[in-house]
Amino acid sequence: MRAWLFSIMRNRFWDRLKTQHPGDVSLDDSRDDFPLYERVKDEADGPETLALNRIAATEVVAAVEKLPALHREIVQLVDVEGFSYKDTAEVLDIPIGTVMSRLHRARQQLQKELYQYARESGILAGKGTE
Amino acid sequence: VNCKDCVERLETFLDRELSDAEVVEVKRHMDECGGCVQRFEFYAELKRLIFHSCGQERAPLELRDKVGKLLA
Repeated sequence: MRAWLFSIMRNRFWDRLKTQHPGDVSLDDSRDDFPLYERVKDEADGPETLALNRIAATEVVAAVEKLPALHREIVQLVDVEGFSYKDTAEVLDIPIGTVMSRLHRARQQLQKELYQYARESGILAGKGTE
Repeated sequence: VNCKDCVERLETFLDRELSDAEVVEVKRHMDECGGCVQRFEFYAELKRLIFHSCGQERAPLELRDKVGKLLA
């Protein structure tokens, strides 16, 4: 029932988005993994998880909002709503393999955004390479 | 299972999508690998951070339950 309800809401959302913001439906298909953990380990002044805890909730929300809509929705379904891959696949009408690959790319992109913020705000010292 | 296998399964492990047998294998490796434990703790914390930060915009549980019951 929950997946079905999200599916209806999602279809209505996409119908409107495709009409009003056609540029927001494409994805960055880059498969380069962003090594956030290694970067933080190298650059944080203290435990890695402590650096994460210094990131404000508003900045996390801002980073999620910067994602392309297709990435944003999958992060919302899996990481916020707690949907299983199977239910997410049902809502989005895509195979589970696509859920996994799209989710991975979305998270990579989100981690890049959060890393950038952590550098700019001084949470990370910036000893690593860009 | 080695460190590379563990890293490859990290996301599915944290999303609770691994089979029971795979979970056992990953945990067995982590019992002996402090580096993988730290990596997993980091990404688990990141997942929690996203949930708590973005979850504030969710409708209250009571309201979501009510809507679910109305549609059932």
